[in-house]
Amino acid sequence: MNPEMAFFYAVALLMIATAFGMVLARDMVHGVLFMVGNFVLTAVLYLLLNAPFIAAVQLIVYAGAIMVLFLFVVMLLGAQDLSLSEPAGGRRIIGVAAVLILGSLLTFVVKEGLPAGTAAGLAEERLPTLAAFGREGVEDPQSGAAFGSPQMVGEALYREPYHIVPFELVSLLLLVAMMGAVVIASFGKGGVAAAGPEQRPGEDSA
Amino acid sequence: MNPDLTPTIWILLEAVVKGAIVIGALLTGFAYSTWFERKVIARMQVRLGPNKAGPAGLLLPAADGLKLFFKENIIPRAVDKGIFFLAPLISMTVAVLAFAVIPVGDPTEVPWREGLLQLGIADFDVALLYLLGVTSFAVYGIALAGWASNNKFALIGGLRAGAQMISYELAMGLSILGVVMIVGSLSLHEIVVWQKAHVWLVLLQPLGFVIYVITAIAETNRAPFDMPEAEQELIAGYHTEYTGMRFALFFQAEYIAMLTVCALAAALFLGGYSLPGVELPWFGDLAVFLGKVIAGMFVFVWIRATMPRLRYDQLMDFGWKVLLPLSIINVVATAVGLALYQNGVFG
Repeated sequence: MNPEMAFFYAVALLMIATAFGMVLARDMVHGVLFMVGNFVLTAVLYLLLNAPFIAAVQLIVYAGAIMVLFLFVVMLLGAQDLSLSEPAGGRRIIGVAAVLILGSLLTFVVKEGLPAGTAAGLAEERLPTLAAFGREGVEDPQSGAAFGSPQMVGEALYREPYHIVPFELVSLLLLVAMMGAVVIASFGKGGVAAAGPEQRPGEDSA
Repeated sequence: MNPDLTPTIWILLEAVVKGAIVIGALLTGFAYSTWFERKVIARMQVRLGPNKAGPAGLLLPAADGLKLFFKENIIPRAVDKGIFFLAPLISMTVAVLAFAVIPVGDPTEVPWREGLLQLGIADFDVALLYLLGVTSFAVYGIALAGWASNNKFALIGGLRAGAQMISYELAMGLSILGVVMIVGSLSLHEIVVWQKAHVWLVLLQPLGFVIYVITAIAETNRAPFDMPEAEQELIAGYHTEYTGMRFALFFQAEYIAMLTVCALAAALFLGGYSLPGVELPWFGDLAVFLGKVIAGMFVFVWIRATMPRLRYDQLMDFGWKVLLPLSIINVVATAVGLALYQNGVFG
């Protein structure tokens, strides 16, 4: 086993451990911390795949921003005790089913490659294939940017019609969701206009 | 041993040695920042400041360190022990990690290796993003310390710090974006090299620089944005329950974070380790870099001595309603300016 593989397996094992820790933690703050650890390790995986930009974004967005909000919600609501009182019920079966479906899909993709003709499949044809992952100096044939560099991610996102449309749609969806959250938060306090001094933006996001 | 691996091991060793040097320098820097701050504030308040321990009070940091070492380490019964121990470690680790990508000088020739030796620990494509990513973890140390202490004041301090840091992080990231757009690189070293070849970016990004400085003060929780530890209302905020060396870790993290944002300000806006029109040897680079960091620290202390603390709602309003829109305007203006320039509108 070469050092890279050994490192990968160490990271992967730790990721599985933190995932279990997250689900099994009695205290939800501990659960959140396990999840942060899991996200950081995911960033390490991206680094192993020669995708430093995605790794940095993973750190900034998921581990650094979103999980902080999770932490805030858990701390403010004092939700530490909820986990034990709520029955899992039918969700357990749904959860197992979801895991099985996702697992088999991933196995299929890893074994067979992405189906040709779909957006992801086309991207894979143009980009160096999965087999080239982890090699130094792989370059995009069109722009000459290093694989996984910010330039290349940007070009793929903004210059490819397969990517720009879904990307913009997702950002629109997020905007709508954000406005919805503001509306929900300001109901019962006399609407948006009356939200005034006791409803500060910073506290909203918390 | 596999012969292919030997260069890798040397590179690793070099990185470890550089890391040790930087950590040593940061801890010394922390110690003398406290001395510097006391001395400057004292002068601004027409006092003498530290003057008993050693000449000009220069041994005061050592005396402080010894005192903190021998203080009783109190662990309140109601704390969440694991996280209570973890929180100061997170703060300190994050503060030190962030400095890894700061460029302190041009790559230089050294007798013991082929090629040039990179001053500073690392330089890579997405160094700036790495720095933002790592510093966004600082909020965990503080928020967790507040929560784990199981104390109302500590929790409020921790939450305030968290909300404040997230709010100002946005404006900070956007204020830096203008620089990145102009240089076209996220590598701090390349940003400095660009400024050496052209002009200090503070001249092209004056608004970005001002926003960066304000958000940097807020991100490091310094006066006038030191709400998380506002002593009149929160005792000592998130570190109320911390004593001895654990408290010292938070203290160190705060000062090292200050050193880092000063170094980053120098690298992004003030030409980094370079002086316009002068080519310096590596120790000259280092000295210029140090000088800029010290100047930055002086501004920190100056502002602390001058400005009263903001009210919490003013702070949030200012972050979201003034700084964030301004930084977005700055990004758009920079984009338009760049597009015009690249199409030759300015000749």
